[in-house]
Amino acid sequence: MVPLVESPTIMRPKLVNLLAATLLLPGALLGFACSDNPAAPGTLVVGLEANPTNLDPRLATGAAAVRILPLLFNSLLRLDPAGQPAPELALAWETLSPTEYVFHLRSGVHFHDGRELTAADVRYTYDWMRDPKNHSPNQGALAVVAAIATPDPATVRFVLKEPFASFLQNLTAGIVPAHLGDAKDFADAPVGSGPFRWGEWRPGERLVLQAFDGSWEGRPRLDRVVFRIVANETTRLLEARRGRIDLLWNNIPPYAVPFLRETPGLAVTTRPGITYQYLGFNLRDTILRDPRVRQAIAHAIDRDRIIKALYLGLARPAATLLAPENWASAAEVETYPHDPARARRLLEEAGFPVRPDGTRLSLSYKTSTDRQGIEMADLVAEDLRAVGIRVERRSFEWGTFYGDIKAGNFQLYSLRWVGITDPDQLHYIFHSASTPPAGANRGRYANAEVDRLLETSRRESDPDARRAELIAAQRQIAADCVYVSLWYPDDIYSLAGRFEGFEPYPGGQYTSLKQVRLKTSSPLSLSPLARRGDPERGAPR
Amino acid sequence: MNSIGRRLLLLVPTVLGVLTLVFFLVHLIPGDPVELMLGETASRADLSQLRADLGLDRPLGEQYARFLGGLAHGDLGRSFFYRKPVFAVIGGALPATALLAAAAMAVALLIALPIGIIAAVRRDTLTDRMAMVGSLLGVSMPNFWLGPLLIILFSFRLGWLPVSGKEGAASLILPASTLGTALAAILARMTRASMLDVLGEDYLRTARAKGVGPVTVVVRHALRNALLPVVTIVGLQFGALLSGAVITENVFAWPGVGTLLIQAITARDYPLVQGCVLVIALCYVFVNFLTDVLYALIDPRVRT
Repeated sequence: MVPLVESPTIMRPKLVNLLAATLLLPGALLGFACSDNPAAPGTLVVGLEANPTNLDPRLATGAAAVRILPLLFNSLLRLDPAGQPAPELALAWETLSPTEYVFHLRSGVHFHDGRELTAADVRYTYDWMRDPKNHSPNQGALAVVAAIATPDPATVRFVLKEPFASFLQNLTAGIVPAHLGDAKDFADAPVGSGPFRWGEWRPGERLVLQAFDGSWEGRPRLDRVVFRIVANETTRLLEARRGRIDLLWNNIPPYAVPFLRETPGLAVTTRPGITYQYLGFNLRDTILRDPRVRQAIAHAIDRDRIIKALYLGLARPAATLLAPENWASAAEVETYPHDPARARRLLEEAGFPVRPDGTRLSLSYKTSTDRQGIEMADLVAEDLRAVGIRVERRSFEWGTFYGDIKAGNFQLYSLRWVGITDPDQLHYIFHSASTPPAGANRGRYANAEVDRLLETSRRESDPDARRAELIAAQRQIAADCVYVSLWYPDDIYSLAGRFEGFEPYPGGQYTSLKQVRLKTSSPLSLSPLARRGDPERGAPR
Repeated sequence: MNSIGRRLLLLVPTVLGVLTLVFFLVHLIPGDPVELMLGETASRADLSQLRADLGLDRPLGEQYARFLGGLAHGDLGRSFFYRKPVFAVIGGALPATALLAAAAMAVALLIALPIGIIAAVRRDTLTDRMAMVGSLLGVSMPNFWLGPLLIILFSFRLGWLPVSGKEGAASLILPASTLGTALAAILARMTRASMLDVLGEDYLRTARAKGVGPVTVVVRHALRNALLPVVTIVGLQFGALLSGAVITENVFAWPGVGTLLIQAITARDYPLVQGCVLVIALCYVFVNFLTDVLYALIDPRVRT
């Protein structure tokens, strides 16, 4: 650095030139930035909160990518809106034995490059994901597969190491063409057989998908889908309100619903969701390993009040991990209604009388820096204070928070399970062998009876018997108060009024965009701002 | 050795220091990229396999040595999440940040110079006081607050400009104004102070006595010399501009290095974090070096 020097020297022309260049540079750079106008008739713009980092279905992990993939790729089976396996590339399947499945493929399915999809592509994709050297995030879920065979181009046979009742739920990965899948830059412009093909990808900015004319499901009604990445929540909502984002799904906070509903030409829909919000306990903690303390906490929380305050009523109280719509959800479980007097009694019994400072005990509650998570923590802390539990709320950046939770370094925390449709997740979350990194039993819960029920349910081929075992397990988990089941927030989405046909999938996937279409009376339903000639949209249509 | 060569040599330890600090900081924060990459269903064997493949099972000192070795060969490694070379990932985002920073700088100079000059020439008048109060406000407003405010006014109420995104000239105006406001305020105050110093100089009195008009005195004689310290401040404030870009890019969905950096930190993508910080540090150090060089060119007394 140079000290300030006062100088009578007359400035040389170079400085003036530099100054002029600084002023002109942006203008010059803008010359090439101006040529960009993404919208055309039949284009639907989706607002995303995060970048889809990798759109290779064998490697994708982030929610943003996983939700977009069904538009680009077809899978052997897909999960319908109710979360049940349904035919996609596999037209039909047979279970020859509890460890042997045969899938008969649909004919006439082509990849975006025109090559026909065959059993060899299916086998290639699954073998690739099972190969440890490829580090696929799906490798763990496919560990049960012993071998894959393709007796003919339209048949795929899976042989399992042991019976696994939820096997079909794990066959939803997109199928990659064997002739292209090994290319190093496959993820830069992936080729699948889905209803949309790759258009353009500007990381951090936008992903454009084009309708695939040769789709076996028929050409989609939309010409293009533009996914715009707008990380800032306020900006995203303003863009929707301004009519420059047509669809927001998975990322509308309840407080914004009245704001978006005021927007002409925008329809906001809410419906019961299956995302499960819970309060987690560390069962190895000296205070929390006593079930009476956990039950006291459950009784102290006024869920109805928090749902009203935080969700404006847009949530349902929850009793178990699986939402009531799930075929394996247990209806009659311990629900711990709001009862502060009982909570105090339970704490008294557990040996926590009121101390001179008016409290009975102190606990720490970890949360991420997510605003809603922090507000929720404060509301829960308020309820717990009323029964004598002092709560210290500690919020951390997501990676740190998540690392702590998995390491068991917490007393209380709250998180949500999104889009759970497969009841085998109970094994993953509550079995004693599922402590991280083997699973998500973060509270280190161990109950031999629950372990037994969850293990047998995995091997059970009779659906009724399996359901009975899963329900018994859920009852025991609720009785042990491993989690406080809080609520299922509603699914909220906003769609520009000129479109119709969108159907929200429980996992947040954009699958139904293949059937979304423009309403015939579309120009009339344009928002007034868009009608004025928004630069993104071009002329009104 | 001349001063430029000396300063150029000094860049090496500076950048190396920044990189060392960042390397150890990102490795020390809790959170495991391998678990984030493989998902929660991965077995312990898979996790340790990937950890070994990425070299994350080696002692930190050895990883650091390998990182420096790679850097010496121009290799920053591969992004864990994009699964592409870090240079390629950053290369895609850098032009957007450069454009934003340059535009913000332009906005700052366009606002600061006229205000600073007028305030100095009309010293202690209402105009001067208003300009200085305005610049105080400009410095005090954080980007994450000013950005949404400008969006609400210009995009939402008036409908003149796009809310966010990078779609042509109009979309640059709000982010550049948001990012440039604080710098404009600082530069306006600096220009005013510098002009006041120069306006009292003997050579200006001589110029006036020779009958040179007031505009020519201010623009041709005073401003040229008053701008020297302003150039230094521009260089020094470039760092603040880059850090402000991280927030501004988030508010305006601007696809630059700031957005990438936040994403990389959340995902514990160590090579990408190191790459982003390297690029930002290099920009900062380079602009300061340029300022020094420029100063040496302008003022012969600094060359020795």
